[in-house]
Amino acid sequence: MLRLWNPEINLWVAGDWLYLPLMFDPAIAQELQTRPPSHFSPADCSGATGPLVVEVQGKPFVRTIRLTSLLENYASVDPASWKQQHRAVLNGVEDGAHHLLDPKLAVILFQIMPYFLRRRDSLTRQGLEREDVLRLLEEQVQLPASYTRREGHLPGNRRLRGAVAHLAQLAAADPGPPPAGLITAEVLRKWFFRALATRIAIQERERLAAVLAEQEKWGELYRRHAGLLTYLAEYGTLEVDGFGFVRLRSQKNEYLIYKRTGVYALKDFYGRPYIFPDCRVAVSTFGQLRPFVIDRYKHPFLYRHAPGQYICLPKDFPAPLRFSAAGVIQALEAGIHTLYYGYNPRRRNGYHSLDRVRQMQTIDFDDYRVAPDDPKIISGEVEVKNIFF
Amino acid sequence: MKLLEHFKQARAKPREPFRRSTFTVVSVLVREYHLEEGFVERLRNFTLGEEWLAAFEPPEKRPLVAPLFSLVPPEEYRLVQEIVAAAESPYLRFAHCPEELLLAGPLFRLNPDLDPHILAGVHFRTLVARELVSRKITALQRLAAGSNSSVPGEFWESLLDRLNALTHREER
Repeated sequence: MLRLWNPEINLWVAGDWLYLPLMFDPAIAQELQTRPPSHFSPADCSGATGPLVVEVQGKPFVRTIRLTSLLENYASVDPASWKQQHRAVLNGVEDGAHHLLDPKLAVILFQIMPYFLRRRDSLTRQGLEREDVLRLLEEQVQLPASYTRREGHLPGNRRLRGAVAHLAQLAAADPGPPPAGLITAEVLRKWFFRALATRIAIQERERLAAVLAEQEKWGELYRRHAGLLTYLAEYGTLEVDGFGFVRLRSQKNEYLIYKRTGVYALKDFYGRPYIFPDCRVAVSTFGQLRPFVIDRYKHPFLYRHAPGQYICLPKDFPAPLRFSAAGVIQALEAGIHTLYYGYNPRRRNGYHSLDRVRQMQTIDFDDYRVAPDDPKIISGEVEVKNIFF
Repeated sequence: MKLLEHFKQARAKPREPFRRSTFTVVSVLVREYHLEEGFVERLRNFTLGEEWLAAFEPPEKRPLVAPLFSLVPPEEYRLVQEIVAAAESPYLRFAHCPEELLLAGPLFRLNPDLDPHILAGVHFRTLVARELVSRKITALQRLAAGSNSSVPGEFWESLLDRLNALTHREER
């Protein structure tokens, strides 16, 4: 980026596109020779894409990046410079305002967890409100005494309102469209950093407005359950009814969300039952939502006997790319369903088969096999999952 | 089956080490030594004398730190192309300094079959000296054979031995 802001460079800006002086090597020179001269007319730059190379004052310029794209991704392109700008914009503004509850944790607690919680009071499956979830958790989770006595307090909203109003003023100072035509890098730099400051102000205003809205809507509720929420915020881990989550050590505010399979049985080609131990099927909120087993585990749909293996899912399963409550529920269910119902004893599908069909088998399940009249199977304590016929 | 054999043959062939293109090497030298149009003139008018041979000391070939490929502005591109055209030598890609750019053409004309390892490791002036001394000794031998007298070239022979030793060190 430092090179782009070099004041000696002349740039050509057309619409949203930034054209930089074209550098040469023999292949580029040859490619330019094969293009007709009409391809270099700067008059064609008005369109959405514009020509790849334009010739301005006898010098060739090549199309590079969109300025809006650079603005959007500047935090990744030049993190140090972006932080500097961010600090400059937030100078004197309330920047310590954070959500009462980490947004991802809120989604896990109030949208994903209710789906997996077992109801004791009735068979009806009605939606749980935040209040119900928190009360349920307080009943089931034994908090340390220091947390149960904790009283919550609501941060004052006045400063936050002032910050939102101040940022709204900054966000209104729009520098307009980028300067067009042949300009120096210095001119572009000035426009770019003004536009970046506006963009940061808009983002921060939206964030603080969301924090403010959250405080106004849920502040009282969170204050009443401050002990439990402080405990969750500090430890970042919880397990209820076989559903749980753990905060990742490597990533800030990212979690592993898991559901236990419980003990279950599968049958092989000859109808012999194999009892599989409990296992935690998890997805990470960081990255693609692909289910995997946390514990060391073996199964026909796992390649090895090791922890942290991704479960072999059907090809048509679209693993969600972004974190969402629906995506996590879908991925966890897909993983557990594959372990329960994926193995067809007639087809012996998967990486491995339960019964030995080869002498040299890398993973065998002989140690899981039990007698057909095993009390656990007969009594129904352990359910055989893969009976399709 | 043919495809399989083709793969086997392709894998069995020793891979050639990556070498930078002539354009990359010359453009790096142009930028590093601030070469200008005057250098092209010097290259066009360059003549190789022999008077320096008597007091010749083999120079060391300094390594060239160059990127894998090079992109240059239009003016510099034209200059590089002019240098490449004026030198008319495939040995340019092994040059590590402006002097070697000057000597690449004469060296190619003296011996167009030099091994890339030698060109990459020995200074072009050393190689030019070896070719010139070798020719000088041949001429002296012819002269001596014509007049039926002994060859008065002990100095040149010892110099050639030194130059050959330097060159063969790189060949090994």
